[in-house]
Amino acid sequence: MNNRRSIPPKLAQRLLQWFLKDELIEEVMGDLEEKFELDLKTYSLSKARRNYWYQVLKYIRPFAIKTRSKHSNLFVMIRHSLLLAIRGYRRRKSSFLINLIGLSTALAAVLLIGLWVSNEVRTDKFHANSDRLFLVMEKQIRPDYVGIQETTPSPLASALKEQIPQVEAASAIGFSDKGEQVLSTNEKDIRGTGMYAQADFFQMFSFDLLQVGVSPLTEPNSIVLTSSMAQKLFGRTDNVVGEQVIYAHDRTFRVDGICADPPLHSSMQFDYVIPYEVLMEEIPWLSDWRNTYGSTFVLLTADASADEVIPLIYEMLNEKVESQYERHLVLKNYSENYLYGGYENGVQSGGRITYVKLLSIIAGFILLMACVNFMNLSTANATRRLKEVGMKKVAGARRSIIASQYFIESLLMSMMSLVLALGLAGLFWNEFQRIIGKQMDFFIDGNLILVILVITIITGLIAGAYPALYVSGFKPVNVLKGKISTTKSEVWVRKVLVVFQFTLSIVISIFVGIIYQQIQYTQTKDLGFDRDHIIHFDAEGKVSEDISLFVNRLNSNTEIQKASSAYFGFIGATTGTSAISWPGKEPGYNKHFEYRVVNYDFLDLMGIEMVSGRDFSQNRATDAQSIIINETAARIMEYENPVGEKIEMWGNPYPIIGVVKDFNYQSLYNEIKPIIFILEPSTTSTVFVKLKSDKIAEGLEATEKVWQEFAAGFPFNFTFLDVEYQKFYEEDRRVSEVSGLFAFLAILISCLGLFGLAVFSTERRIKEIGIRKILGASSMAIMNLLSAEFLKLVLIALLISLPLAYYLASDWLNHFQYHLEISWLFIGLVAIGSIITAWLTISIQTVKVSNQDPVENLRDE
Amino acid sequence: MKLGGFEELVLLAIGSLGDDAYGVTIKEILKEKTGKNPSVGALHSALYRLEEKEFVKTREGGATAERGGRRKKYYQLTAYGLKMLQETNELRMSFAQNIPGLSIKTQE
Repeated sequence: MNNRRSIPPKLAQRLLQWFLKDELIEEVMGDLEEKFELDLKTYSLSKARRNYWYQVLKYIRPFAIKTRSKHSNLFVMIRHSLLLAIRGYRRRKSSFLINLIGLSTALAAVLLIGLWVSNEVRTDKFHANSDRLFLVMEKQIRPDYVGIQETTPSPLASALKEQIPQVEAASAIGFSDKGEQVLSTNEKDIRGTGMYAQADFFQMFSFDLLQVGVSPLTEPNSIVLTSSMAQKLFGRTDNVVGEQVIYAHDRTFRVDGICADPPLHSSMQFDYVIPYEVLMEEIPWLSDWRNTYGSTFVLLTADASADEVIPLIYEMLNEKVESQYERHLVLKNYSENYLYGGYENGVQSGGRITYVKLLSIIAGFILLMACVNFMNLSTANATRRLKEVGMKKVAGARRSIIASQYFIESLLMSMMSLVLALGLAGLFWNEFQRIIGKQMDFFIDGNLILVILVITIITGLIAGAYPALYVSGFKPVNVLKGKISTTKSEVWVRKVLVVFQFTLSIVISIFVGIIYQQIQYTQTKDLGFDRDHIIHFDAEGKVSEDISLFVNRLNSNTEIQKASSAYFGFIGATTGTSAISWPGKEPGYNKHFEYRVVNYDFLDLMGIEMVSGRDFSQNRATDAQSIIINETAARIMEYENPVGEKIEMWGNPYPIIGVVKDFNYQSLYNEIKPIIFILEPSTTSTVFVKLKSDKIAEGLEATEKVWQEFAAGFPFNFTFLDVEYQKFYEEDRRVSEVSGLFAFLAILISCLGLFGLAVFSTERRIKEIGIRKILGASSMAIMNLLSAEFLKLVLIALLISLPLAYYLASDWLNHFQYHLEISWLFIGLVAIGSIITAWLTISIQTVKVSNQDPVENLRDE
Repeated sequence: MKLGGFEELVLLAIGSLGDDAYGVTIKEILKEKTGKNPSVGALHSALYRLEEKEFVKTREGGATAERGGRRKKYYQLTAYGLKMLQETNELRMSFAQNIPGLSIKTQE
């Protein structure tokens, strides 16, 4: 019995203590232990212990179990803590509001970003076969770089399906170069985005077919409509299969199926699907293996892996086509392509995942900043509540109880903030979607709820941790005597946190400002051509049959200034060739030239200046075989005086009749490329109209009238050139708006933090201030004294953030070939602005304190 | 007020133990007399009910080492409890007398 191990099992005892009514403990434990000793005399130790366990477990009976009613310790404690928390909020309204505003905006930001991230991550993941669904990409190995592109030769899909046994299904997928095409029934003409795909399409992708006709997309006149397109065309979605629709007022199609609208988290969006072969008829050069246009998708068999298929298809293109560089095929999982679609020199890097990560990090920082505030303020408050803690400790509260009180308070706060944040997120949802530039579903699933809850709880715990663990460790005697003085390190930590917040806010502000300025710069920069009051639209119907006739009709109209036409759009379009040679070209020198096929008057309409030579003229028949180049092209060809020289293009000689001044026809990200203008009115497909600046509406009306004569049934659909130009900077605009939003949040939160610190610090120095006032200090002097302490922090933050921001911003600007210089004025303004903001924030508190009656503050000790 | 079967046995045990009736002794005597081994929980549950019904009263007793220093809780029949035992006994007797072949040993 002296064996120390011959005692009843501890765990069983603890269990018993946990569930047993307090008044029973003594008797029951006594009896059980005596019984245990008794057992030991007859049985082995292990049997006795087992028996003890048995007895304890059998003791779990209704009569013996503690009633955990409102009188239980735990409940009383929580209720007490909540009560104190709520009273505390009422008493210290300012810090309560600071915490609530800070935390809820931060959580709302996290929530919105969370929703966006969840949308991004789910994009293209809904296809049932997504692990077997691959995008075939072309890898081009050129001497100077390796390129990866998503467009492939159009005949590739069928070839893959025929030749590679592991390919179960394949489809080429493309969109029309003419944009939205018109579908018509007897009554209606509706434009819609058409996707051109092959018969396997619906087998590969999970766009649910709601109704199926004969066999969708197998016959050349088969079309599948989305249900909303069917609704628009026929006013119903039932019994549409078998109906006829006319495509582009040209071909009649039979509706062979109705599919559900593509979900928002699909990167493929379309209104109808028609056979890819239609596209191949429209654009004859598609059937040539040398050209690439649409994308190719394959569905591998269940037992095949991409790694085993890639070597099989890798060499396929090189065998089919002779090319100046190596062309290979690789596979990319389609569901991953959306997020990981970025390539750098042939190696996957970045893509949308970069934005996902960036925004997640920003959200994390914002939340961290709000947590810092929360922590600072709770610690500050906690030191004001030292007497309360002291009393509790004297009354017998354990450290854990005090700590849990603080945790409960901070959890309550974070939960309240979550509720508010949900409201805020709902309120700003539409605005957020607009800024992000993406339609999203307000999709909250179990995972997201879990993540948000966990984040909220962790936020609460982090924010409550410092006061909970710090204050609860005080000795009650010292606390009640008022002996606790804040340690230097604690004050230091708080200051570092504020400096950190301000540094972050200033960096973000400067960055946002620079982005904004750069966008302004690009909008107003003289590009070398005119983009105001110019509209353009694609030729359709009879317009495309004789585009020159249409253009001439427009030019005879006095309501408009000028009309012309070109092949494709003008902005951003890239039609290029390297099949050019000129006298003096070094052999092997392979330079890519842009070319633009234009109609008469095009250069004049666009306001592009001639440097030498002349524009194309209707009066000279030979101009049809001549070209105009830009200055860059002239430089590359090393011509002093290019006019009159002859170059060779696609094997034909072309004389140069003029040189135009360089102009930016692409985004300012790019440098100006050599460009060649060719006169070939019959190939042009896009009409450009310059309107009179004082007669915009009349000009539009006149243009539409002529359009209706030529292309009745085709809704008139045009784009302003300057609007299109802005699209280049869409992504930048988004980045600037989103970061502007977060800059605002960051500034708000750090100001809240500074204010909180000011409140805390001034309250601690209230007696000092009182004494100073009694000794004759003016309110102004005291304000300066108090402000100086904080402005010092802001100055430190400025010292850190200005160089950092300067570095980051110039790094970003270097992405542009043409960018503004960061002005010192702007940096100075931000610096002064942040000092003023900080000063104003602090003064809310300092003014209050410095005007207080010193007697009030010194009266009691 | 009713008296359950097991409760009656416990009550009898308490009565027969006199001054030494507490958890462990009651359990031991029940085991000895009935051959069954009720769990401590079951026993305490019965004791608890008996106390509720005021058939027994309790007093705190001395602590011993083998109880880990915890005090015993002694049980004692109340007058009411004794009366209850008497009534049940009489009831049984009145039935037993009329059962042919059942010999009743009266108290010796």
